[in-house]
Amino acid sequence: MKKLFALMLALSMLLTMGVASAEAEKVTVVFWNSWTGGDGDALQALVTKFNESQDEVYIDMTRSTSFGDMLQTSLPTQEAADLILLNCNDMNKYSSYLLPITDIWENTSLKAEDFSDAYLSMAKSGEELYGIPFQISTYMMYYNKDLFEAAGIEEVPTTFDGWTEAAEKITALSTEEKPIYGSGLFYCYNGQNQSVMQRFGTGYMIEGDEENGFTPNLLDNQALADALIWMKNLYDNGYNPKERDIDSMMAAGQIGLMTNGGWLKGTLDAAGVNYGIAMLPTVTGEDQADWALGDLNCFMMTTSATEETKLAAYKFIEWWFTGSGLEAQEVTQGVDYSNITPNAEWSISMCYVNAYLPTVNSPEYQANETLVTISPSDTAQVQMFTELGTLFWSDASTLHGQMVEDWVFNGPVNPTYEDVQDFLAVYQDDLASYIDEYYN
Amino acid sequence: MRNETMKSVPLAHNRKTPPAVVAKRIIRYIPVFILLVFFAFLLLAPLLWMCLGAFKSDPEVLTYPPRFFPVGNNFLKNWENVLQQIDFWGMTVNTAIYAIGTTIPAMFVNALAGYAFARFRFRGKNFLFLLFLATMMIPFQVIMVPLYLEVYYIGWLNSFWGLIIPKIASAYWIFLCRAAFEGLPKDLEDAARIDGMNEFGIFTRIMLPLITPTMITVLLLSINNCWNDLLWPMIVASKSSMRTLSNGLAIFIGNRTDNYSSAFTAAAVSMIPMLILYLFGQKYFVAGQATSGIKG
Amino acid sequence: MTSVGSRRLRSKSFERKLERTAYLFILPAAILLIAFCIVPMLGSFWVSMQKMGVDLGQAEFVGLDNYTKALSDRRFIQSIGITLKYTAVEVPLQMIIGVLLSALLAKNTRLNKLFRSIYFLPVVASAVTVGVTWQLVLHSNIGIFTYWLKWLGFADVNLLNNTSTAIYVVVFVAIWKTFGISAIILVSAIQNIPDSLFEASALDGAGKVRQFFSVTLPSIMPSFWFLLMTRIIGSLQMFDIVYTMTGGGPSRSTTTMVVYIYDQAFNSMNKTGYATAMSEFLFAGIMLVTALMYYIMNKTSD
Repeated sequence: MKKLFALMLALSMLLTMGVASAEAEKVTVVFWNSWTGGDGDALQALVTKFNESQDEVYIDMTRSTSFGDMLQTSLPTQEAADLILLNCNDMNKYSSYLLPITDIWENTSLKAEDFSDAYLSMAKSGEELYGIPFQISTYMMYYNKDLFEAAGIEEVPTTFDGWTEAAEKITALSTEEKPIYGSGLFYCYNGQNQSVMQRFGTGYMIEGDEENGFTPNLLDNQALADALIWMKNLYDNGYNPKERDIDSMMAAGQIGLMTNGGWLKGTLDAAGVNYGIAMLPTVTGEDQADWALGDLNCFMMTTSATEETKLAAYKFIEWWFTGSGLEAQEVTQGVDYSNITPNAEWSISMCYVNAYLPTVNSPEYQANETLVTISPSDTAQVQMFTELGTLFWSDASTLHGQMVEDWVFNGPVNPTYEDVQDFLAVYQDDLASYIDEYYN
Repeated sequence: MRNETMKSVPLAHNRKTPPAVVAKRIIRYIPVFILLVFFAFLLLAPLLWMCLGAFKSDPEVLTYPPRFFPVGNNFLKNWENVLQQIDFWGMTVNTAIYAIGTTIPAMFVNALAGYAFARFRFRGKNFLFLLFLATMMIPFQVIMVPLYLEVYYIGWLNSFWGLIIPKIASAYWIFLCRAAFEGLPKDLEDAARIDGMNEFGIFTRIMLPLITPTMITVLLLSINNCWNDLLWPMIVASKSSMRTLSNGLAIFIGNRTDNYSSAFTAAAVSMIPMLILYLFGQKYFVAGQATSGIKG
Repeated sequence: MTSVGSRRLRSKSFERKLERTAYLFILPAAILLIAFCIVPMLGSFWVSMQKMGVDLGQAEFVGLDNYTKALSDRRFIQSIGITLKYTAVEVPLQMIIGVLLSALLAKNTRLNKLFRSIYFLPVVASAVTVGVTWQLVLHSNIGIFTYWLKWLGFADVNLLNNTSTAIYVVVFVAIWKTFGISAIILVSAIQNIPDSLFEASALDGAGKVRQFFSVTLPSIMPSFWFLLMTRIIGSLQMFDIVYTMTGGGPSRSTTTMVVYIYDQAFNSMNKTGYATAMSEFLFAGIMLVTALMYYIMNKTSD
């Protein structure tokens, strides 16, 4: 037993020593994010490419589902990563520990005017810049082309009535051997739901601003009532399965149309589904481009970084936008992909709209039909749940998830406007209590 | 059921049983056997489905109608993908250091305390025991931040010391060892005391060997806990060179799993070392052993 | 000889020496537990009286506000109910199955060893793997179990997405995952029993049934108590399987206390203090149950 213990200690010392010497000449930038799954693999491949492409900076990337726990514990002790990928909505939560990076414009060739202002301003607090847009995750409509054809639907629906109509037709294809559902709304996952519901014109869950005061916006909200009634009917008519895991069903070819972010693409590609991507509907079928509902993840730096690691991280960020990517796809359909930047590659292969204008204007990006069709207008609304920067954002978005689940499982069949009002009263009170908590 | 329990207790002086009795026993065992097989099926089916996923390609995992058996063999391709994404062997070594480094001292420290609680009479015993038990009653997430700060102030972040030492003492193991020592017959140690053996010798040479099955249980479960521990290694040793296997696997299986076959491959392979350890440990599950120790 | 020995053993100075030995034996564990469990716990009491988020420097002392707030939080009260319901179903089932199977499997035959290995398999798998696997196996459409149940004639099986059944699925999976631990602990307890005890009682002319009650049962009672108490503590803190399998849903029907506490701590701002205060209620509840059981355990074992 003693021998074993000694052996173990020796081994552990050996291990800690061995690592320190590796990559000694390079400046190591510790980089944490929560990109697990297939897109994380792609990110890792790009980071490896960066590490091999030069001999000054080494990016030590860790992706973990415990990302939040890691930040929460390590930030107060300045032991966190130098560089992180953070959702803009979490900026408030970690505000004490985020490093302003406004000087990135002086230290790199990147220019502020090359970034779409709508997105860049989301990463600002006052005059200071805290993040560089990494990924805009807008929610899109995924539809199964084979099922559309089998049901004889030629046009992809642009309205919510069209959604219901298509769902009905596709559900009719269902057989004893293979159940099929036309519509694939999630009852959980607040983001996916709000991306659809807010397009009814519901507005934010809480309206107003700090100066004029906030008001909860659930009651007496015709658009919200319409959205909830529309959703409940899809469930009650059997067009939409009561299931948490719609993604797997879409992959198995059992769903006609659904909403989700770009990350679903990898699953569907792997499963070999013949699918298409389109913009989500609106009530009238017009102005679909006025909503880019989703969220923005940025490269951000923490106060754990030193001046040296900060500048090194800037080099990586600069490379992300101007360097050359994996050259995995070369010439396809007459478009030359061989000089593609990592940023453009990320955007095109995962179907994420981009905030960096040189990428957006590049021929490679413009040649991607899906990206062009889902590109929102310049004035499109991006933020969901509540205004960006409001302190109750997380609470409200969590409450939204509970509200929809409660409605799907406990709401009345064939609901009326009055039913919705009765149902929402409790939730209106909850929102009021959040306002009270954070602003009074 | 009671009769079955009886049979399970080995009797040293069992003589040859007449064939009629044997036949009767076999017939009586059939319903028990069916019950055991039913439970085994319930336990095995989902795991087997998962492990077979390691041989499937992605479209085969998510398909309708669902398939139990793979069509071809995709294992090598999946395995290659796993090795490409994570430093599987390096992580295995880290996990082994964490698991063994925690478990071996844990067995000793906790058994010693459990023995004291079980076999000694002293003032403040009940209070101390409840105090120890209290450490099990608060979710880890709640003490996570204070504990992290403590390890930080000691200067143990990103070292195996910080990973291992806070995890050695555990009320769970103390309680388990206490229960095992209490199950032993009363006055066992008195004979040894009369022979002039010191208390530590009584513990290591007489009492500890008597609960070998329990100590093996502690060994297996403690290693298993470390093997599957996600949160603690990630926050206290976030440096990528100290990554443990469970966190390497979490890259494949998580909120956004889009590569089930690789995820299942990684999960299935990482179960193998624990399984081997278990089969090995079973050897030491010998009933009523080491009784000779007290006869001398 | 025995009478001389026991007189010596009962002398006062010897008693004191034994007491010192006991403290010495407990010392290593006590130091470690105090340093790495009890001190952080005291830290958490401080946190529970603050309004704070990630930044410890911006903590604001609010006294018992977080505690009073928890008592009027209907979701917290709901999560207590769900946790109690879960515990009330899980613990007795787990104990019955555990005792039953370990009694059947304690004998070291080859078949029993095989069964014991199979029953231990789920213990080996990580909670995340288990959660994801069961979620897929029980999936209302593409799940293989659902498919088999359908084939057996059960229509519209959707166990995980039903507010009245989801909690029982969680109970089932939790037992499935952990009863291997219960079994191994009871099996090892049975095997700890020295043969000499059975031999002695057999020489006294005891039958098998009497042996079970006079030898087996009293010998494994401490382990039984251990299991019962730790299962109750564990059930009241149910988290990982729920979190990976149902996420607390559908419609909050599986949101146990720890799931709710975790959500509050991580999914909103400045609620670390509040979440900690809620877990102090959990702590107090568990402490009460445990102390009560400890009292009963000591009463019955004397």
